[in-house]
Amino acid sequence: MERAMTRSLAERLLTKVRRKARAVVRHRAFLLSLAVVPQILALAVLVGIFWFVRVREVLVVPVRIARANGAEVLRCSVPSRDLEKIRLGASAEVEILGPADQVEVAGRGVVVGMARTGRDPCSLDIGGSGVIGLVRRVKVSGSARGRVAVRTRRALTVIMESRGGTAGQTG
Amino acid sequence: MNELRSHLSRYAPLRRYFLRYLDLQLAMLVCSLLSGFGGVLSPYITKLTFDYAYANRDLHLLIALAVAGLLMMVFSTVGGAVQQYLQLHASQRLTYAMRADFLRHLYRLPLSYFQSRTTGEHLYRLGSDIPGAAGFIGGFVGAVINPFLSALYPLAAVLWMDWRFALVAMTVVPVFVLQSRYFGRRQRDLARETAAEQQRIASEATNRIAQVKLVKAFGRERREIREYLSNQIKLIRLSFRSYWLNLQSGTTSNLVNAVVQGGVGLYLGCRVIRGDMTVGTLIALSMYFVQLIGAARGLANLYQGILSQLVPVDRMLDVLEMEGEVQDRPGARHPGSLDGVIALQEIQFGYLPDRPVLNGLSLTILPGTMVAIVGASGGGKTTILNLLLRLYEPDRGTVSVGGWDVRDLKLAPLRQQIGVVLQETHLFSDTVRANIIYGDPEATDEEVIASAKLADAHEFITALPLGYDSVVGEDGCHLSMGQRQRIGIARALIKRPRLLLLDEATASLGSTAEVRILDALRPKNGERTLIVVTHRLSAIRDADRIFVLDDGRIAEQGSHHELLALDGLYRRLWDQQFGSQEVAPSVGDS
Repeated sequence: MERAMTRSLAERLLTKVRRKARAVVRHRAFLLSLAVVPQILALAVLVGIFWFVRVREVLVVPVRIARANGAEVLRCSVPSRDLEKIRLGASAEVEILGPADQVEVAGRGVVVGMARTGRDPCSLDIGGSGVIGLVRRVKVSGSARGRVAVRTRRALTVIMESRGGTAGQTG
Repeated sequence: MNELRSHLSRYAPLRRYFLRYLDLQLAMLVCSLLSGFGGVLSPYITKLTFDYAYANRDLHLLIALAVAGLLMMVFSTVGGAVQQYLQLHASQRLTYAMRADFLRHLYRLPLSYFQSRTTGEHLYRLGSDIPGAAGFIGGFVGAVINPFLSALYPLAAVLWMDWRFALVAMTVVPVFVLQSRYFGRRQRDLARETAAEQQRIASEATNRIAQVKLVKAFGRERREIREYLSNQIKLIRLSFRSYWLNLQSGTTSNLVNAVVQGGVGLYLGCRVIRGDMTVGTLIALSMYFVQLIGAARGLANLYQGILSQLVPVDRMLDVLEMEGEVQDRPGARHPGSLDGVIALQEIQFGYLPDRPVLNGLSLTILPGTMVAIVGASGGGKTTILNLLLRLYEPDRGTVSVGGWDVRDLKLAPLRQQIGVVLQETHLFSDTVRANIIYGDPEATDEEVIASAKLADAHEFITALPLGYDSVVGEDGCHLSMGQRQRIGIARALIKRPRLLLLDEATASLGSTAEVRILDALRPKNGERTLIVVTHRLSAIRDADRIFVLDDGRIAEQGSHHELLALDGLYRRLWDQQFGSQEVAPSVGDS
């Protein structure tokens, strides 16, 4: 009888100790997750944002109207290092600049062709009747200077590659 | 190297505290790693805002960067809050555990330790040193690694962005380090001096205010106030010294800052004008440079900081390293019932080296008898009781009970059977009942009353407004000395001790009350052995045996009449007190 009582007492004590140990482990696990999870989550959100946002590259380059595959395009002379950042099909905003760098006309087109020569200058063709029409309206013949803004690369890529040197603006 | 090893080995006992919350410390480290990453991203986000969002009029990117900046802020706020919580969690629990261990050890220390230190010192160690030590151990990983991390992040960023600027920064950062070290040491020394002075003043004030009765009795109130205020003036002077030092440090720091930041700004500006750097990069590098200076200052003071944080740790270890009181020997036996012969043989003992109190003393006490120890002040009467209680170990000779050397007996059950009442009865600021049952927390009300009756205390206790539930005040200040002694006797009796030691325990009672109480306590059926130390010889006339102490030895022993007949020291003491009378006159309680 006495032995049974002692055993039941020991079992009760053991259960209590186990329960306490489990509570301590749970609490510790909670504290550790509190320390790590929100921060990892915040970093992941940050990376996600920069993955989806694409950076606008602005190139100030000579532009002229040319023919490519039987259609009229706006052809820009672009340095080869800038051309690497641009992809076919990317939307482009074009502003034709006047003698004092004032904006004469502005329109929107799509990158339809790129001539990667590996040497400067390379050529970038922007198609779209709207933008050609606008250029025609200000009577641009031969060549003029234009500001071409193309939204292409992921912000994350730009951040990882960007260091101390000059940014993407070329002039 | 050996010196460093021995220095570090001192802190080895703290390893268990360190390891107990290692997981939390690692979590704190991860937290600061991630927060540090957040901190290093902020200048870079500023650079991107200037170089890409503003320069290219990119609204999408600007919004993304604004969200990123906001996230970074939330990120570092949450990280900081979690880190603080973890630190608090670890340090509070460590404080709890360390205080428990410290108190356990403190109670094991010999009385000589307490006699050589003030109460204020112990309270300071418990109240300030232990939380300081716990904070240091609980946040050790962070305290040591964080300064390196906060230097490493901006340095890596600067190296990645512009290695030439990194070289420039590395050459000017030592200027800040030197400035910080120069003033840091002086400020720390001054802070230590101030803390020591504050502790001394607080300890002194506590002592003086506790003895307010004495101060009033001697009319020293004005002197005490003057001394306290003159101490305050010392503190005020220290505050002014600290102010001047801070002013010098701040001014030189601002000056160095202006010169160096101006130079760095000029260098970076020239590069922007030359076109080999963007404005965003200039801003980011300037921000990293400021971070780098802060981190370098932190690193410069790291070693000194650790040293000053080790001060409370050392103070705690000073106590923990002290040898505890007499401990149970391996294989120590339970003393059983203390009903054997008590013998002290050839005892040699002194509280200070070369100043023996007992010098080859031997005596034998038969169980179930009442014995008295008398003699001149400082003759070693109380020392005999201290040795019986094993509060001290004899330098030579043995104390034995029932033929067993007390050093071979377990201490706790030995003391459990000994009741002791001292001349200065200390009571807790609690009820009469709580003070009596301190001797046996399991005692019933009936036992409390029975003990109080035996100690001749029941009558005055029931006359108190709340009887046994009356609060006695600080150290029993609401009661007379005689009443305090009666409660002290009741407290000892409730233990039902086999050996009762009364050390001048009835000195504040009237002689009639003293005789009445001693008569009540006298062993009737051998239920206890009673040892009485007293100056008042009238109280011990009926003792079975009286030991007369002189020069650390037993000079005479025998019954009252035998000793009078001897016409020796006892006779002289008796005559000094009562002349040739056989019965002493009655005196009331004090």
